[in-house]
Amino acid sequence: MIFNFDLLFQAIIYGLIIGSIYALISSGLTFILGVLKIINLAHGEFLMLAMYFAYYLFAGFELDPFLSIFLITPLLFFFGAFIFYLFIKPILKSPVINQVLLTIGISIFLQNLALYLFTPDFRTLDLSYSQRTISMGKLPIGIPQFIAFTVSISITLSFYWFLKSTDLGRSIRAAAQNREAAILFGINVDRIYLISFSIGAACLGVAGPLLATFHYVTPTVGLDFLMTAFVVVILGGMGNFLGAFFGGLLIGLTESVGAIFIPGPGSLSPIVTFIFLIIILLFKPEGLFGRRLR
Amino acid sequence: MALLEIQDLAKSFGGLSAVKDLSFSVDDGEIVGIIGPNGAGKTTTFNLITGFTVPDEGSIFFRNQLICGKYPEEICRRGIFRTFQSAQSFPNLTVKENVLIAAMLHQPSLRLASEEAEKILAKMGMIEKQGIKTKYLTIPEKKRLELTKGLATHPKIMLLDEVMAGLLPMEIDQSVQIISQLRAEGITFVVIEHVMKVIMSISDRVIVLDHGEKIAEGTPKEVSTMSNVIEAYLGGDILFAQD
Amino acid sequence: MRTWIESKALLLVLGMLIFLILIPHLFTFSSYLLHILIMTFYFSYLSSCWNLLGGIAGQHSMGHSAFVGLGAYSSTFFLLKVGLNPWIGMLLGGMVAALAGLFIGYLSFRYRLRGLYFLLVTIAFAEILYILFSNIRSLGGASGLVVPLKEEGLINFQFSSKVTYYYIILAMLTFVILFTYLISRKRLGYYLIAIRENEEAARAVGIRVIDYKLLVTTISAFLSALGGTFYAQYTYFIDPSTALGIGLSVEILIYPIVGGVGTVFGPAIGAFTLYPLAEFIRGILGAKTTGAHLMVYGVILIVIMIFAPGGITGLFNDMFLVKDRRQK
Repeated sequence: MIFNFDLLFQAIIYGLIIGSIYALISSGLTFILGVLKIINLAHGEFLMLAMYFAYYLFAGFELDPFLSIFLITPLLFFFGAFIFYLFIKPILKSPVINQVLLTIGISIFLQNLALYLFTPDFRTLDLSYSQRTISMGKLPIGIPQFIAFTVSISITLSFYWFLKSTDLGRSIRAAAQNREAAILFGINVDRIYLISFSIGAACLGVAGPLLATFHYVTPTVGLDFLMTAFVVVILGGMGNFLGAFFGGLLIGLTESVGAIFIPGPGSLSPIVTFIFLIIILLFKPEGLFGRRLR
Repeated sequence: MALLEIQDLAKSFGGLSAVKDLSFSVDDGEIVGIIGPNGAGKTTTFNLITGFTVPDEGSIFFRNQLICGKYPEEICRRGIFRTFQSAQSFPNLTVKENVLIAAMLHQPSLRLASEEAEKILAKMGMIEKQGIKTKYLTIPEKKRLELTKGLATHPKIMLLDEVMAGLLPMEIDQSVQIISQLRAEGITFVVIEHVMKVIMSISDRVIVLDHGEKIAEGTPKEVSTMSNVIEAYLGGDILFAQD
Repeated sequence: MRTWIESKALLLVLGMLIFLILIPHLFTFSSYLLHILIMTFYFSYLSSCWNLLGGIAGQHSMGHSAFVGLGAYSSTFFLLKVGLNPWIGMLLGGMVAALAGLFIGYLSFRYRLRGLYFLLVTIAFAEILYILFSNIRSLGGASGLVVPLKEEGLINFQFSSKVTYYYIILAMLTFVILFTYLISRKRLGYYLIAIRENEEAARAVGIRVIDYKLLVTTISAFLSALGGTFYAQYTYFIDPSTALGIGLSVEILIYPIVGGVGTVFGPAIGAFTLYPLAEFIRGILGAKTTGAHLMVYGVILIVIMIFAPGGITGLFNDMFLVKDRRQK
């Protein structure tokens, strides 16, 4: 096997880029999981919707997706609040399997709504700078990818700062760690849950447009990213924010670099991710970084 | 060797030592009380003995056989039954079904297990409640049920974890009577309690734990006058007032 | 202490069974309607197999399609390769699935995985199989395998008339429901329920939890695989999307949860309610628009989870059965 360093380097770069998106998506998921203890299987569909919003804002109004983030993020926030209030709140105390099925129901509904409204056609955004690249040494990096990377990283890190340093962030962490104690301290836990779920959705309001700049848009796109997001969340530790961050980057890297080394069709590489997942679940279910919402 | 022999038991959780250098023994037919302030490691000791937690160091012998590291269900099969501080049961099953399941351990057929379950329920005064789902029981009733289930497993030793907590004085007297009667029938007891009246009245011996270590051992009267025990409880008024 | 309903239940069930047996003779069905019935029975069967592990024992698996697929692929592959008789292939598939169940079960239970974690492991396991089978050429890859046409007859497990398939799957369904009913009244059933209700308490009364979980997983896997072979022999075609994959896994567990998880008839009730309904909606909406019928499906799921969390059986219990006798 001829070893091509350029190829490897390119795979690493791409892995980091897609990994940063994974990190952002997974942050939202792990956040919801950590605070509300709910597995939001519709998370992928929220992402899908955000991507479609970005697409249509671009196609209809020529609004650059990086700008439409400012519109779509609050939109997803309120959408999340809407979903939470109507559907999630009633089942917060239900058995896990019921919660899972409820979010599956939402996922099925949204996916097929998109199928109905938008048709299964793959769509891509053709930005004026879609094909332009900047060079990192000898390597060209697509401009949209590069911007997506920087935005993802910044947002994820700001999110982390928000949780650590602001009052609201602290209240959220308190409610996540011990609901009863938080109530005793006067924290309005119901409101916290609402806000947290919405924030989780809002993460996708950022990730969606970013992703749309270099990834195709289709009603089923959510599913692929959901699977990966779950692996990242488990890997990083459920509810562990930094874990999702590093986990996302790690998975992005292993997928991208792994594709070079695994012979045959590239579609076999998810197997590695899943085997990885099983091993983590067996031996270190708290994830590589431990469980608690930090 | 004694019926139950614990030697140099140690267990820590994440750097915090829950139990350290713990050794004691329990003889056939005894009632041994274990007391100590909260967090002293009493329940952990039960967990270690019954296999719910694996010790870091030490050995546990039951009937001269090493049992540490075995699964809880194996230890139960050998004759050690334990209750939980929070009174565990099968919530959506009836009282009778709960005991039935326990009785199945030693009864080959469903019919025989059912008969035995009814016998034990009657003996423990729970027969009228047999059709009620256990999630509807009060705490004292749940504790009584746990005891009943335990009997169905034909134990040699019963480890009772705060079975008296939350009971009215009359109920406590009843339970004490039941334990005495069961001891007369051949069952050995190790009892964790905070209700001193109980410990003092039924224990042959008392072991005092504090911060995971044994700080005293002796008859109830002896232990209640030991200064280190009194100190552990932050003022011996607690011990004396109950007498 | 049986309620009126419970004592009449046996009659009801018997009557239902007789009715089902007679259906093909009482009415002339279009091929399509008979197909709907067969598929309803098929999913009732798979869901009832799932229910043994997920409902009775309380270990929710979202990877049961793996067992179905292993069954379907085992029998079909060996039929193609060495002409192995599909009935024998069915048993072979069952054993392969049982081994797989044993494997993933041992890993999970030995390492004390429960609830969400167990769910995830089963998902991962099924996905791995899905990816493998989609990419391995000799197993058909993404295009799947076609069951070769043989002379029709019981020996070859191929029939030109749907009616025979109808009876076969009805027999299988009856068997698994009967099996569920019988074990729930025996030690095995009680122990599994105990494990479901409170695993710690079960251990405390001497129940060998890992052993029993493994046992039920193996049985559930074996039986599910038999269904897979039936499907292969009925539709003459299997591919990863119909015989494996998360979609099938999810469908298998929707029916029991909606019908009443852990009950004997719950899975069948769920399948009998949802499957024909979904087909009916698809008939109305599906022709003109893609996905519209599944939207309705999603809504139904959501509504049931919010308003009838105990499933249809739970609703029924709340409405008709005597309330649990509480303390006076």
